[in-house]
This record gives sequence, C-alpha cells and structure tokens, in this order.
Amino acid sequence: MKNQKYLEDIREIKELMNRSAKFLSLSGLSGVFAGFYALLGVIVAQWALGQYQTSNWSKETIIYFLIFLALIILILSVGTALWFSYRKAQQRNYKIWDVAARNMVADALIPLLTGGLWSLILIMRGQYSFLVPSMLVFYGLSLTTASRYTYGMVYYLGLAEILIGLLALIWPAYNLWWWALGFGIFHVLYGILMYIRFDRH
Amino acid sequence: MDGILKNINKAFDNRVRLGIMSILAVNESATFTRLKDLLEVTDGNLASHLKALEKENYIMVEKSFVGRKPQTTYRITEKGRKAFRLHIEALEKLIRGSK
Repeated sequence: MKNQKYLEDIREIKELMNRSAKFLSLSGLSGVFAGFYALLGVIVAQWALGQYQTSNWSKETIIYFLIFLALIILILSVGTALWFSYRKAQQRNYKIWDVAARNMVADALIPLLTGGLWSLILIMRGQYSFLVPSMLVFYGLSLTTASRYTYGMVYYLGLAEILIGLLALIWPAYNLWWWALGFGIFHVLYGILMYIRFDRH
Repeated sequence: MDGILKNINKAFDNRVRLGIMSILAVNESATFTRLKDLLEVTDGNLASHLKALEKENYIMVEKSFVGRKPQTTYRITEKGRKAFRLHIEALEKLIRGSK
C-alpha cells in the first residue's frame, strides 16, 4: 500500500524534473514532415539540374534556384515544427514558450546563425560545393547543443548530421544525395522513432 | 529498515512540496509564477508550501523588480539539495527492498 505511494512520488519527481527543465512540446511529426519536404526538394533539384544540363539555364540561374529552393524548405520545415509543437503543447496543457524553450532556442541559435552566415559567405565567394557539408555540420552542431533542453534523442540526430556533413566534405560530388540522406531520410526515420516513443498515446 | 525510514523526509511528504523540490533541483532558479504554472496550484497553497520549505532552509528566496513588477525567485540551498537526494534514495531503496 505504502509502496504504491512511494512509486507514485518517484514518478512525479521524474515527470516534473523533465517538464520543468526540458522543451517537450517538440513533436516527432515535425521531423517526418521536414524530411518529406527535403526529399521533395531533392526531386525538384534533380529536375532543375536536368534543365541546366539540357536547356539554356545559366549557372547563376541554377544556383539561385537551388538556394531559393533550400530557403523554401527551411521555412516550411520551421513553420510545420512550430505548428505541431503548438498543437502538442495545447493537447498536454504545456506552456509552449517557457524557460526551457527559451534556453533551447538560445543554445541552438549560436551554431545555427554562425552556419547561416558561413553559408552566405560561401555563396558570396562562389564556393558552392562547400554549402551542403557546411549546412549539415552546423545543423548537427546546433542539434547537439540544443539537445540539453529537449529529448535526448536529438543529440544522436545531431551527431549523425555532423558525420554526414563530414562525409559530404570528402565526397562533394554526391552533395545532393548527402543532403537527401541528412535532411531527408534521417529526419523521417528520427521523426517516426520519436513519434512512436513519445507522442503516441 | 529504520535507517532508511529515517531519511524519508516529512517535509517532502506532500505533492506540492515534492514538486517544488523536483523543479528547483534541476533548474538554477524558478519564479513564483513558473512554479505555479508547472504545479497547477493556487497562489495561497503554493505560498504556504514555499514558506514551509524556506523555514527548513531547503530553499532561498530572492525578491527583485522586473520593470515595476515585483518578482519572487526561488533557489534550492545546499542543505535542501542534500535532504532531497537522501529522500529520493530512501524512496528507491524502499521500493526495491519490498519487491
């Protein structure tokens, strides 16, 4: 009898420690959708590269088209993530923009903004083959730092992205496929895993 | 058995007090409002439990102003951290011992 109460106490302690220190409104579905957008983007990019090779697209056109495409995917992914987080927070009666969320964003933002500026400088200098490896590595770094304030699994996704980024740096000829693997397939797999473990009731 | 029960702390024998300690154990500090949101209790209820923990010197209070609004922030003390750790260890031992 008394034992039941002790178990209940321990469960309560764990739950509050997690909920107060971590951003738990992150949904696995965000990952699935982000990966899905990235894979769609790869198909569009493939088509565009075909146009570049067979018709009269200039080098500038194709490069700006791809950058624009990447930006659209980024905006869609962030938008979807915000929407799913908002929904999950409402369902569970969590506050979405609490101290843990602020800590997480602040931590993620330093490598993320550095990566953004870094990529911009690469574009300005015409070093296009370094873009994909840089995006993957900086994104991976921001995930590993942010993971302190959210689900621990995010840490391993971050490590995987860094690894793919480094491989892309060694073999940049396959940049599109590294991109599809890192931003597409990894996100989908990770999102499904996370959804099964934390979101489903 | 007596040794274990000695560490079961009467001060934490309450859902709200246990909750306050859990939150402060993993956060550097927490404001009154944040504690209230996380624990879903009334102002009066929370205040009385905070006072009880403060009296035991398990937590400390800081009052400050954000703009013109007064803000009360709570932190765990070393004494509180130790007592809470012993309490959790005792709970775990009791659960494991009876299985």
